[in-house]
Amino acid sequence: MTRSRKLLAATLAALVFLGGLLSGCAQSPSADSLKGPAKEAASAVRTASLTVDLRLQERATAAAATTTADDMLKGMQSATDQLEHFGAKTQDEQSLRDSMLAIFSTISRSLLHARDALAAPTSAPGGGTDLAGIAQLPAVQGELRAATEQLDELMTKAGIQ
Amino acid sequence: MKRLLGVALGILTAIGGFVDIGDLVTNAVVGSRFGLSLAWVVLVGVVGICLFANMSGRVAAVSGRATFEVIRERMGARAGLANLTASFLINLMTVTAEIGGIALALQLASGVSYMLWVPFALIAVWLVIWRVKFSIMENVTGLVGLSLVVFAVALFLLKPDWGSLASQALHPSVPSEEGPGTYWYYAIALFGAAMTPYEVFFFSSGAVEERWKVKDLVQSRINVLLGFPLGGFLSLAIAACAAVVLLPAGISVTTLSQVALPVIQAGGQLALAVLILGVVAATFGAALETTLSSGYTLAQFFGWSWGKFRRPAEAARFHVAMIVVLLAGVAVLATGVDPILVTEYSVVFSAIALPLTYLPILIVANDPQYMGKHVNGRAVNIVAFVYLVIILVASVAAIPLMIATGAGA
Repeated sequence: MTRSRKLLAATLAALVFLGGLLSGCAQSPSADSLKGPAKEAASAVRTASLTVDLRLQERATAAAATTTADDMLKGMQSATDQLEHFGAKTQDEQSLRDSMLAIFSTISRSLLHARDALAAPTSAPGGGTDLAGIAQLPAVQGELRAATEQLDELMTKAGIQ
Repeated sequence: MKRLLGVALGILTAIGGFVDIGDLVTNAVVGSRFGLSLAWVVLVGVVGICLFANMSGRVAAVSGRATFEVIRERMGARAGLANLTASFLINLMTVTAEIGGIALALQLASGVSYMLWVPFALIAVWLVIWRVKFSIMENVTGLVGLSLVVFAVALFLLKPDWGSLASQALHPSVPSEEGPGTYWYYAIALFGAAMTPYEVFFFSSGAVEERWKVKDLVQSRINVLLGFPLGGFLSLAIAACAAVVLLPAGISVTTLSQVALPVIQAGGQLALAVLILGVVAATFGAALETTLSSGYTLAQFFGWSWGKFRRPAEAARFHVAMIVVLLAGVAVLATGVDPILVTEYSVVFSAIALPLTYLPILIVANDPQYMGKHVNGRAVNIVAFVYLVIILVASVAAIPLMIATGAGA
């Protein structure tokens, strides 16, 4: 092995070691691990809420609004998957995880309702306005806000910023 | 008059062509999580790209050959191969991200899943590379990409607290919800997004395509020194829009649809239409540039005939290489991987590969055999050396930070 190769191998080994060390130090396998999915879920439900607002004001198009709602549903799915793979070590962690899963389920349901309401046409075939499509949005907005409040409450209780 | 118009067109194209999917996503992510506290990185990145793009343009104009070709000859096959491997892999990731970006923008316009738009994006990119003249291709995408000015307009319409934005930018600090590791991870990502290697290879190969001579250096310098900084302002406007609307709402950007929300809030459906046009043009232009860049680096390394100024039959391997790159990018997207995730990783890996791209350029730009009296001046070399140190630090820190922060999670 030449000198330059030895140097390269040593540098790579040092980087891998440092990476391992940092990843070990970065997160304790506790409630900290729930922070990621919780923040992802909070961001998703707030995005959906803002989108519904913008659609109610007729600022967002139906295509853009449904795309956003679809994206947020995928985000919620990813957050739920992370949470389901979280191995709770104590009774408190188990309880926190279960409470969070229940709220995630509520959020996913409200996101589905939001997506369906946003996808509903707001223009009737004759050129008028289809009030049924728009009428669903305030109710959906209420659902999203209630879910946001529940999640915020739990995050505060768990000490997640 | 004609010369003045040429200069103006060059500047506008440089502004419109500066922002790609990496800049769009990274700036929006950073704005939604850190406000403008990482604005200084955009400044550092823009100065860096101006410095090295100008250098590689000068190498091409003086030697009449593309930078990569000269690097291969000047530094030998092994150094050339290291440079090729790093830049080619980053290019491949960036092509994938840009095609995904085109498809995501079309989904935003139509509501039809982006996966269905990917084949159309592939065919459109290939057709333009195959059929359209280099200058038309570059100017049209750059000019239409200027539609992204809608971010700056939206920022004014949102009536932000300018004092607070200025304070975030001028007194950078790590927000309480984020750790220092995440802050520095995104600083590196933003730096990588601004200094993507493909930009310099495309710039220098483009100079050969357009047959630049020494007399064209002034125009090229104006394009770079005015166009890129103004493009940097667009990047800041993207971050500022996210900082004004998304950060206070507790929304962290993970999708392109979220990037659009501040613009929709400010300007409604008309602004959204302009934004989609701008995103399609910017990502389409960048897909063309990265695909060409992949072809350029491969052809220049192996000594194949290359260039759009030649008929495809006269540069067959160059064109086949680009088709393979496009198909590889689409194959990656077909696995269902999130294009935004590919974008986020591509900018960080760009930062990792930066020393392999920029050190050889600096060496060649100082070689009188190629550059004659146009070698770098002392001041340029001092600044370039400082940048090499920054680039090296960013490159070495990127992987440990990526692991430690869970890729900025």
